[in-house]
Amino acid sequence: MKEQLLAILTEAVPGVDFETETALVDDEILESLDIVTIVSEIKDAFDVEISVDDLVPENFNTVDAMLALIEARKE
Amino acid sequence: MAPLNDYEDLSQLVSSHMRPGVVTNTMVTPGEYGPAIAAGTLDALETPAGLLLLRDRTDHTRLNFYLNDLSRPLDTPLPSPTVAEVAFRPRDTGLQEAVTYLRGQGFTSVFERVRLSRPAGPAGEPALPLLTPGPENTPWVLSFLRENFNPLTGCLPTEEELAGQLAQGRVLVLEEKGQITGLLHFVFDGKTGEIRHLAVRSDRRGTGRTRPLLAGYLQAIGGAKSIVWTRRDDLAAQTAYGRFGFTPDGRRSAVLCYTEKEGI
Repeated sequence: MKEQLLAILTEAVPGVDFETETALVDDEILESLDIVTIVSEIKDAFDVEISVDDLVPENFNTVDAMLALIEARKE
Repeated sequence: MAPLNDYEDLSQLVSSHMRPGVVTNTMVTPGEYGPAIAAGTLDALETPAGLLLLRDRTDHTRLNFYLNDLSRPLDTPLPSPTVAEVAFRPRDTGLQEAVTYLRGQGFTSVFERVRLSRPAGPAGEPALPLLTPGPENTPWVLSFLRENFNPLTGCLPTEEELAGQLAQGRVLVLEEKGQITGLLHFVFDGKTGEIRHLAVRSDRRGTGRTRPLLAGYLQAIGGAKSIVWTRRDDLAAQTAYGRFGFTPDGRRSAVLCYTEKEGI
């Protein structure tokens, strides 16, 4: 699942080392409209429902946080 | 057209349009859309191309969108006039295509804007005394804004929005004999400040009033990172901001307007 997510992230925002970044939103590497794009792809790829209410910085600052969100929405 | 009376309805509707390939010019949050929902001025319009969010601003309608299929027409009547702003970075090709799409649907270009950024850094002292009007001064401040900015494209706050911002000290004023001769309106989220409006009364332009307003603003945000959007063709404004360390950061926007005359 992590590899698939990394592929989505790299496609959406090239040139970022997503595995090492710990403040993707707080450091403005990802902006709100990037997150909409990423979530749209995640919903399709992982068949999960993610609401606009989930689009908060703490869910997108790290790859692990995004994976946790996907896992939570799968349950 | 369906008026939205509940944020949860809006959240569900927008969530359903977050699909691969979607392009949007808005982030839906309670802070951004709550006031329009409470005022009953937000409508949602499902079109063949995607979702349109329309906010009635009394003299015009503001359009935001979640477009999923730019190969299909909007194919629906819109209020007149309707104004949309689409901001994008060089890599946001989908949003640039959305601008072309809206032009093809009857919107006309009004102007383009560029964004200037200033990294965090110290600010000097303002050379002239500045006032920070409170919410009781809302009509006074709003009148000056209306005299100096286009009501359709000037992104003017509503009376309620402005009162809230005045309560937070987000407007700085130069005053002479009870009249505003210069004004700077900004927002600040604790990390980044954004100048929303900066104007000097026409008979005081060229008299050094921009500098104290900018210095006062930078002091008010504690020298934090700052951004401002200016018209692409307003080189005088860009020069003034440049003196305070603002430089273009590559972001641009297109301001588009639909009027019934052009038609869809």
